[in-house]
Formats: sequence, structure tokens, C-alpha cells
Amino acid sequence: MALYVDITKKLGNFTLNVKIATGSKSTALFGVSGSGKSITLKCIAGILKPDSGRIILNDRILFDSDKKINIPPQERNIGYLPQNFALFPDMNVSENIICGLQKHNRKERKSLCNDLLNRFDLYEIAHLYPHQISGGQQQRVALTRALATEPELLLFDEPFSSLDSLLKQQLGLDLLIMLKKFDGEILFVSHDKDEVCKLCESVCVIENGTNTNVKPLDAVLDCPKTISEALLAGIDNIGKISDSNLSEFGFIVDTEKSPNAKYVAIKSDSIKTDGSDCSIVFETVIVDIIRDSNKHYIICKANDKSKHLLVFTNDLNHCINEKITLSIDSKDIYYLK
Amino acid sequence: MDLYPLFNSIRISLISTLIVFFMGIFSAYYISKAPRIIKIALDVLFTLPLVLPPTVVGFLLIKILGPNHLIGEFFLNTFGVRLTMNWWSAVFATMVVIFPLMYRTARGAFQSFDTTLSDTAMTLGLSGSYIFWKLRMPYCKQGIIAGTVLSFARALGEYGATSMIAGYTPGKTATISTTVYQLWRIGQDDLAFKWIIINIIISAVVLFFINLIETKYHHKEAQNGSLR
Repeated sequence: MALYVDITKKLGNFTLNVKIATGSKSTALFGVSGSGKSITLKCIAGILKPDSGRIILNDRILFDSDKKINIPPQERNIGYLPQNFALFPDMNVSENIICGLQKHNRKERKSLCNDLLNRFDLYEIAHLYPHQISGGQQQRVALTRALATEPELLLFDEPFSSLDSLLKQQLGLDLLIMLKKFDGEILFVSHDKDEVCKLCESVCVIENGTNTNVKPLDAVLDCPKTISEALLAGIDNIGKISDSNLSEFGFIVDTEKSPNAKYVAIKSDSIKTDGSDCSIVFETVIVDIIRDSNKHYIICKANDKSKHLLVFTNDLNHCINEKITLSIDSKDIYYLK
Repeated sequence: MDLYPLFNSIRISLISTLIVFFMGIFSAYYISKAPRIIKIALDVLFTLPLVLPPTVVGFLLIKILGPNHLIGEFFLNTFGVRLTMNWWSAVFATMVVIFPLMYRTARGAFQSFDTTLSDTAMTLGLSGSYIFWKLRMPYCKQGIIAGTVLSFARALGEYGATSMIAGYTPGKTATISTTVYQLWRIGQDDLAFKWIIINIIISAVVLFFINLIETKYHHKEAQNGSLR
């Protein structure tokens, strides 16, 4: 099971230049909007034609600009789920699913469709039209329709972007259960770190049309190397390092181990407020206090010029303008390129 | 009262609408995929008959289809068929005049089509013609029906180019519009009035029908809007 992509495509001022080689069952392309994630998916599906490069799926060449190969989307055996699910509005749920059964003859389609409706718990809404069912049901139908083609690879474009967070959570679970039954590979595009962490085994970060290597998700979460990876790992404090090794947060960092580092990143929960003895200890003032539903954060500032630092604390007795000593262990500091 | 003009008008309008239905839809579809410069040039060319006076269209048609000109001469010599002054000659005139209406409404309808639907359909293995007839056309159905009805109504009312290329021969090329003109010219106002009432009734029914389609269309759009 492997997808290999090495393509370039120019669209106006934007140039996409991605190199992706996957190995695990589910891979995420993580990046902000406008980074080129969706274009990459469309190139892999065959909807857009790259300017040059190669796309290979399980030893089958789908696109090769040198050999002038460009397999049409109909024959790529790749499922594609766009953001809005793209259910066909003039067809009911069964008819939509039957569209995914083109490989089979007309007689088989009806019974295969019934099997799928049963398997994914859609029997009750089989006769309804897309505008008559809920967002979650629409997604289940779209996924069922894509799985009906028995694809080798399934492409997801921001499946939850338009949904509110409660529904998102529920759908995430539904999706996980449905995808467990799928043997193919999944490539998933997202700008939401929770989605990526929940659904994917490996991840590749894409920024301004170029990407990092595909890495196991755990490796990125344990040791982020770029700003995007730090965002993915949920690190709140990211600051620049000046030439004199002074970080934006107002403490001196030791850049001996990673001399090329341009940024430092510190998790809010690895900063200690109890004055314990660490390699970095510095004085700050509390400028604000945030009480989240069940968490408690303080926002600290070392001096007038320095950047705010978000610190997690269990101590509920802090007050604004209070002076506080922060300590950070050197192993809790991430150096980013 | 001789009802031949009514029969002839409806016959001409139906035939020209049927032909223009396909021509307009396919032009609109292929132009939407053409490079930008070609798109602009063809768009101007195809819309021109909408703003030109019908007499100009009629004049140009005579210069092409007339017995002493280009295509007209060829048909007369080869098949012995004269392209002008027959009842069906009016079909040429109405076709040219209503083509822009069909073309522009179809183009507008196609532009509203959500291309992720056709993208996804391709990945499901559906063919281009299936996508066109089963996805794109139903999606754009209301716009296209409205365009067709409007084209039919316009064809019924066509006078200028029709009178030039088919003339007025009672019982042969007479249509409602040319009959009204003829009756007024010879002072038979009461008979002209009867034809005018018939014409107004047909037009009103057609416009009522378009209105009905449009209200239904907006209703459906509102429903679909909730899921996009």
C-alpha cells in the first residue's frame, strides 16, 4: 500500500511543488487554507492535471508527464470526498449510492446497494433526497457512495470544516467506525489539529505549496521541527529567536544543539510556576488570567518588549499584576526552523 | 375565420425552438470550456441577433439564402429547392432571432452548476455524457425550461425577418404577426383585433408559465442552499 506523488503545478501566482510518499494506512496533509492541500488532492484524483511530475499508486502509474500518461479520474480507482460532500441533489440516497457501483452490471447494482444501505445504517433514509437529510447523514451517504467503488485510495477534503464542534465530534467517531471497515489507504486534508490527531497515523505538513516529509504522527507530536508542526502538536507559545539568542519571550536560549533554529516553542503546561530550579528561570508579571471550562491559564510578560506567554497552572489564587518566577526545563524547549 | 396563421405560427415556433434548444445548450456548454478570447468573441457573435433589428437579420438571411445568393443558389441548382418564400423559410428567421435567448439562459444556468458535483462524479466512474444528461441538465433544468419557453414565445412574435424571407401568402406563409399587419393595411380592423386577442392570450399564458417555473426554482434553491 503506497502512494507516491511528485508534482508541480502553477495556478496564477501560486506554485505547488509537492513530494509525498506514504506508507501507513492513513496520512494527513496538514496546513492552513491556501497552502495547496486541496489542489494536491484534485491532482491525485485526476480532476486537475499537474504541469509536470509523477503520481504512482500501488505500482500503477496514474500520471507521468515524461511518458505522457494521464489516466482519467474514472479509471484511477480513487475515491474523492470534497468539503461539501457533493451528493447529487436530483437523486435520492439509493440513486446516489448506485452511482458508485458503475463497475457492476445493472442487475447486481440494486442488491449491492441494499447491502451497503444495511451495512452503513442508511436503510431508513434510502428514498430521501440530500436536502431532506442531516449533515451527518449526508456525510455517511457520501462516504458510502465513495466506498461502493472499492477504491484503493480515499481522498478526504476537510470533511468537518463546515460543521459545528459538537456535530464534528460525533461525526469523527462515525467516520472512524466506517473507515475501520475499509482496507484501502486514506489521504486526508485538514487545517484542524484535533481531526488530524484523531484520524491519522502519519502526517505531512504543507506550507505555501511545498511540504515536509511524511512522518509518523507521534514523531511530530513529540518533536516538532517547524511552526506548522508545532501548531499541529498544540503548542501555544511560539516565539522568534534574535541574533543574541534572546527569545521573544524575554529569556536567553541555548542554541548550541540546534544552531539553525529561528523559533522556540514551549507547551503551556511545561512551564513551571513553583519556582523550581531549572536551566531557565526568569521573572515575569501576570497581565491576564483565563479561566477555561476546566483549565486555568495565566498570561505572563517578562518586560514591555517581550511577547505574551501562556502558562497553565493549577493555582487558582494568582492575580493580575502579580510578579511570578517561571522556570522551564531545557528538554521542554523545542527549536524550530 | 381562417385559422391557418395560428397553425402556421405554432408550427414554425415549435420547429425552431426544438432545433435551437439543442444548438443553444451545446454552444453554451462548449463555450464555457473554451479559452477566454474565443469565449468573448463567440459570445458577442451569438448574442448579436438579440440586439440587431429583425430587418437587418432578414436582409442578411436573404443575402445568404436567396435564390441568387451563395447557399440559396446552391440548393436551387442541386436539389431544385427554393429556400425562401416557403412556410418553413420562416424557421430560418425565427431560429436566428431566438438563438441568443436560448444560448444566454442556458449559459447562465450552466454557470450556476457546482463543479465539485461533476468532479466527484468522475471519480465514481461516471462517463462525461452521463454527467451531462443526468447531473448537469437536471441541476440546470429550471433555467433551461424557462429559456425554452421564452424562446418559443419570442418565435411566435417574430415579424420583421419572417416577413422578409417568407413573405405573406394567405394559406401558405401567413403567420399571426404578418396577418395582423396585412389586415390593418387593407382596413379590416375587426378581424385584426381577433388575431390580436389570440396573440395576447397565447403570450400571457406563456409568461404565466415562466413565472410559475421561476417561483418553483427559487423555492428549490432555498432548499438546496441549506445544505451547501
